[in-house]
Amino acid sequence: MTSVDRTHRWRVAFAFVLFTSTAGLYLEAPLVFLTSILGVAYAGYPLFVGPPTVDLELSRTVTDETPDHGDPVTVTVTITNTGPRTLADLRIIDGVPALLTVTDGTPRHTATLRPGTSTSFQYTIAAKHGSHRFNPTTVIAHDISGNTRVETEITADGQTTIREELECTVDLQAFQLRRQARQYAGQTPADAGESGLEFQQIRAYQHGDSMHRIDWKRYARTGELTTVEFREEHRTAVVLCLDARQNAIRAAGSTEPHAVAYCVAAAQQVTSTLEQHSEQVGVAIFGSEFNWRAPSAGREQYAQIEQLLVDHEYDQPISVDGDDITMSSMEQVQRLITQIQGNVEIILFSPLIDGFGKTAVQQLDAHGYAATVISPDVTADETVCEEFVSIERANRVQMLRNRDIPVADWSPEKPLVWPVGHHGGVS
Amino acid sequence: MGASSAVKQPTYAGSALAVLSAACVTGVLASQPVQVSIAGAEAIGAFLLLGSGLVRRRGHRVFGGGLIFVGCSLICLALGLGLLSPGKLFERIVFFGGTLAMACVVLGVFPLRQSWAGSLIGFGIVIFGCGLVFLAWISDPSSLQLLLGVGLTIVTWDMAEHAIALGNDVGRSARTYSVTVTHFIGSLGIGLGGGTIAIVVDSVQLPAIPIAALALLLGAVLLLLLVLFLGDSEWLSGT
Repeated sequence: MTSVDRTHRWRVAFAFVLFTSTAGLYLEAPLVFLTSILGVAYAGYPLFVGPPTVDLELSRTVTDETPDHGDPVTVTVTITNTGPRTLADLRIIDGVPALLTVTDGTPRHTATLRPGTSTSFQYTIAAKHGSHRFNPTTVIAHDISGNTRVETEITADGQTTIREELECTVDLQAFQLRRQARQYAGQTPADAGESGLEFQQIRAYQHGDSMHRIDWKRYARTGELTTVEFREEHRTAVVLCLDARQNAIRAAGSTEPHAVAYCVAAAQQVTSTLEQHSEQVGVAIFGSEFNWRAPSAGREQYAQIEQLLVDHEYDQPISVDGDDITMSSMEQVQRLITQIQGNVEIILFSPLIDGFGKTAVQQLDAHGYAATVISPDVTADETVCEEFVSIERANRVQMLRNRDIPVADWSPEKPLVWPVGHHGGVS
Repeated sequence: MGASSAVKQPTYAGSALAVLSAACVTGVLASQPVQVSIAGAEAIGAFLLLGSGLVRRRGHRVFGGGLIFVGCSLICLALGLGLLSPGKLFERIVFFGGTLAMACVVLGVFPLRQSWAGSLIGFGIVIFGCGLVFLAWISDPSSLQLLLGVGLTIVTWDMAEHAIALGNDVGRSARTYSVTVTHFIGSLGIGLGGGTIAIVVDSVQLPAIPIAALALLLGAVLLLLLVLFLGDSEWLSGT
């Protein structure tokens, strides 16, 4: 959107002319009166110059499009004046992604650009986990007198010269679902006997049974046609639960991403891994409102989950005022329990900085759902209060582990090592 | 934007040019050679004060603190000497007004306090304007001296306000030299043009024109400019 404003800064020259002319007349000083001409010249200054024509072309490149967490990424921005007139006073403010910090240089730049000329500037940002989208670049152009201000934003709009995203994925190690961690088949039993791997029963042949299921050896021995049935293996769906409540929007420092952003980054990586195995994935987001998407597979489903997760990435941190085990939050957990059907494995992403995550996962565990907790550690230890929160969190992690619930106590600076061991236990 | 908020203070380049112009105006208000020296000392103090911000930003906090101390001392010394300098009482008052105005401009762009920047600069410019009018009334300065003083006063205001606005948009750490110099050249050019016209008008030996007629002519020019401004505003709103 482009806005054109008048600053009216040279109105002061009118006041100056009135002052000098009045003083000149009153004091009968012709020289003072003469200086009014200067005031008139400055009052008319904006009329000599037209408003700036902002026709610009932007290019943004980064040194690394998929950096690791903490890596410095140098961003180079180049602006070219494609308009017919000189831009005397151009101010450029590049849209640094909301969760990233500039570590060197500045994303703000000024230039005077003749038609066809360019200006470039660089700054360095520290990469953090997640998919970070650059905001539109704001460009402010003033005429040389400073009387007219034109402000506009330059977006990519499909231009390939503008790098829009920075992907800093979570290094997910040793990922496996809890059901995969069990060594033998049929751990998720079903009553109906169908095609599977584990033998269930032999029954009398019925018309329509597959020839491959007939026990021919028995037929040879007894002359009786029987059909072999195997235990049917139902696929276990996975529900990713994201703790995006206000209390979870908490960061270790003012320049650090908050816990929900880390949870979203981890959940995105898990979704991506599950997508590669075409697993049925659903999502439940606990926040100001309960968002639920039932498990299923398919490209559209994964895209919808991605969008639901990303919507919570840029929430702003607020102060934490005690535990938020409100009815509303726990009602959302109850709603999840009523919504999920069949064999579902739960992966909860929560910083565990209050009691909600622990209570929620305990409830899910009590209902028989295999749950895993991924908890980014965003606590600090600079003050007594921060240390207290850190100790409380450590206690929650230990209490969950004591109940055989796998918990990944994840420091975002390190890879996310999945907490489920190879034998169904807790690593 | 991420955690990249800029320090929204007047830019160094614009501030330096504003202080330079202010120092020149103070020099114009000086009627004794010693007063010119005092103005020079104040200018050095002003630049040291500005430079301290640059030094502190690079991490040399103690050295920056020292520059602030020396800069403030020089400015205070100039104010005191300006009041006690030789010359007639009215000349001393005018010069003291000049040193005070310059101190206000420096404190405005330093800035003493961000919210006070505009007010301090405005106050300094008013003192400069009054000092110049007073100077023209009590003594007999040349038209060039007065026009130079008035022109540089306006340039001081323009550059200081530009530095504040630019600092608000891009912060102190951005490179602003080219934009500042372009703006300075534009502002100075208009001053030179206006000053040249004024000198030409002053030098033309016209028969005595009634002052009322001149005032009416000036009023008409102002009215014309006002109408043009209003028309321009409507055209802008139409876009």
